[in-house]
Amino acid sequence: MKPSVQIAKREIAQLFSSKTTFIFAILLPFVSILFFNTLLSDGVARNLPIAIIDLDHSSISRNVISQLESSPELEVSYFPLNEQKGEELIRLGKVYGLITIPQDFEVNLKKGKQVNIINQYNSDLILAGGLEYKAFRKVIGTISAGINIEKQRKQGISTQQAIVNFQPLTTNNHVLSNPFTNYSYYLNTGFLAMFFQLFVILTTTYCFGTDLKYNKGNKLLSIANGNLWSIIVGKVLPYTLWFMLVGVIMLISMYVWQDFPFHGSKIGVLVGLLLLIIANQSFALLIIALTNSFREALTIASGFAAVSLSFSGITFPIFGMPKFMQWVSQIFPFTHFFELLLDQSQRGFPMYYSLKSLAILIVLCIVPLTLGWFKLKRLFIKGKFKHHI
Amino acid sequence: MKVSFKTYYKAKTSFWNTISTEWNAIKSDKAVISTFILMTVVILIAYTYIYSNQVVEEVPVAVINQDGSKMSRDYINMLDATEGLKTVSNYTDVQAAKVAYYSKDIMGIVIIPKNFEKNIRSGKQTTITTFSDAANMIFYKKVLGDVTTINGYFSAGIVIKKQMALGKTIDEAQQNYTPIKAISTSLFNSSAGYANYLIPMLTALLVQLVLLMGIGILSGSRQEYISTHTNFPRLLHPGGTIPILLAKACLYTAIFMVVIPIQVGIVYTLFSIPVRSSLLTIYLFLVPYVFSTVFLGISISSFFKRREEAIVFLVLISVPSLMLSGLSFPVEGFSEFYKGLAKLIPSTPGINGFVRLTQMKASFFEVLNEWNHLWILSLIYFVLASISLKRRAFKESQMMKSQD
Repeated sequence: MKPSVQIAKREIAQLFSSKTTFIFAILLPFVSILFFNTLLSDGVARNLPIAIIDLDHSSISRNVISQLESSPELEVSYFPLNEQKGEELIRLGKVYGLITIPQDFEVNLKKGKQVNIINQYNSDLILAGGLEYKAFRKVIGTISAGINIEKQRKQGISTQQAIVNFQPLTTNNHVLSNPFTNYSYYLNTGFLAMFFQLFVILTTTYCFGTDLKYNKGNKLLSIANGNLWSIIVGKVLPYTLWFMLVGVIMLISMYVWQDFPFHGSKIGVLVGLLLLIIANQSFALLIIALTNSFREALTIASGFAAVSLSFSGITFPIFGMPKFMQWVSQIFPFTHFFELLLDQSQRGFPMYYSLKSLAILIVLCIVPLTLGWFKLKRLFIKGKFKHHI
Repeated sequence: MKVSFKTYYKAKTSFWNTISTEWNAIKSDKAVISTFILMTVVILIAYTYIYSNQVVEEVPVAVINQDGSKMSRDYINMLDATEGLKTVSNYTDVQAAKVAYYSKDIMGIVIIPKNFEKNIRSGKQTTITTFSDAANMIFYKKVLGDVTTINGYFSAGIVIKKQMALGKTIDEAQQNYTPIKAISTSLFNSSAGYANYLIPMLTALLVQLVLLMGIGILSGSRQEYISTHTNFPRLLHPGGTIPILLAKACLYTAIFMVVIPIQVGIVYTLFSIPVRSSLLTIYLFLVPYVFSTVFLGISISSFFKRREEAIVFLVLISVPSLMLSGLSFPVEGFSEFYKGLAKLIPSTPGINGFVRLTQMKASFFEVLNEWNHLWILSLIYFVLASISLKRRAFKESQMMKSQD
């Protein structure tokens, strides 16, 4: 193992002498950890601005407005005079929804007629629009139920019985994994882990690419006495260890410094993290072997890591993708790590059910390197990429 | 008069020279061409294909029916009839359902209690218990949302039937039950489809990503070959950066005027994503977006000593730019610091404006705020870009002189 130690020493010296590698491998991972942890620190969207057109101007309509206002998700920010002005506010992006209280709202309600409240919401912004819709329905549902129960009480029915009469069927919802439905728990787990693997794959591609761009392949091969394995171990292992440390800090930032739920096996997650790093390094080597220039290798590596976010199912479940894309998603190590991380942290599944993810990650560590082995060897013998640029 | 004409003439020559130099650089650089094509067409198609199903349907949930009555089966049928859920009822107890949940066969559990029908008939309140997994918000919303809706309908059905049994008409019974009816109309993206939501955002983000990458790669190679000042000889003259920067911005705007119709024309048509504005409006909006991004690209490109560094760095800022645009997670949830930071990135007004134009039927005057915002950014980055270019040309020429 002597030559690989020599190469590792050379690699570490290079890391500290090159500003770029230093920034990418050491500085930026921490910047990304800081960024995502602070960006969504609230985790829950509150006070979404809405507009209300009150055509009734009665005490009941004002009551409805104040109830909407007091719901934590909504904030009544505009009172447009007519529908046109209100719709303009939506198109201007100033409000997420427009609620109209029609004329004679109070009069009709007192007469016992059914009255309507109209909510137009922007469903193009799925998250904000959905929250507005839900909050509106909840508030109006509560007011409406209150009126119904009040009516029954006037007929001499007890409040309790009136509630039962109104709602014979209730639900008791148990929210598993993420009890506060905190978006930070949901999005940050994905973003942080995705960025982490992006750094791993880019740094590995970078450290091999710089040597091969400037024709150092032969030199490395001579240090290693022609043994490709010691080059790989020497160059990759320092980063494997370093990123293991970064990864642990990333996990600590979520589960210790912040309050993300963690109910599963810590060892399982750590093993998964190690496998994620190695699998990404293995893919980086395959990409180096298959490409003709440093630039091409970096473009493909960064593309590979970036699209893995969408393939992991965090933005849209794998379950809902076209069949072909479901298969493609299995190639990405991140898909399996992300599943393992969610299962072992928030969901708190028994470790047994995560063994499959671990097994696939092991396969993804071995296969890419094996596929690229001979081409990589030829590349090192040649000493440089086919194209300089 | 003569002087001003001379300046104008020189500026004009420099403008056209820059356009041809830059165009030739783009044309002859395989990296830039492949980045352009890969990013603008291939990535966009791949992403759209991922989201092409638009909504998640038929999410499997386990129903544990402890009652076994006719009413409970009606309830299950109603759940099953929803678009979002598919009921799987061959689990007898929670333990069996839990195992299925661990192996991801089901995404939620619904329990119908014993005496469900009996209680409802005798006027007692009954409770349906649900377990939904919020580790993935999309599944969580589907399960909880659909169960809540069906429960509402089911309750209302029971009450209204009872009222009708007392001799009321169905209208009266309905009015009695919900004195205030909440009518919700979803605007623009009525099916809440993910492709409709994400792809316009991505199209606008790609403009920024591709431009920054292309400029970064070109400028990186000029740094490697120390050719900035020879490529653009007027850089060292006073005011010499103005025609050069304008020429670059105009050239890239022209390129995107070709790229955008191809993207919208092919991808949007292929996956039937609506376009609700005219091409002319999009062009008009695009001008300051491209200008500000080009100037930003030139300002930061001095940091890249090698062409490869630009690629790495710019991939890294793409996801944060998308997040900061405030369309995926509402801006109301960001701290003041991030709101401020977001305003400095061209993609924030760029994505907002583009999405509102193409998806929310906004007229050009309704995106005027974003348009002005982009012009202000253009101005700021123009100044920074001039300083950065000038410094580089100066440094290079000093370097060449000392070598001679």
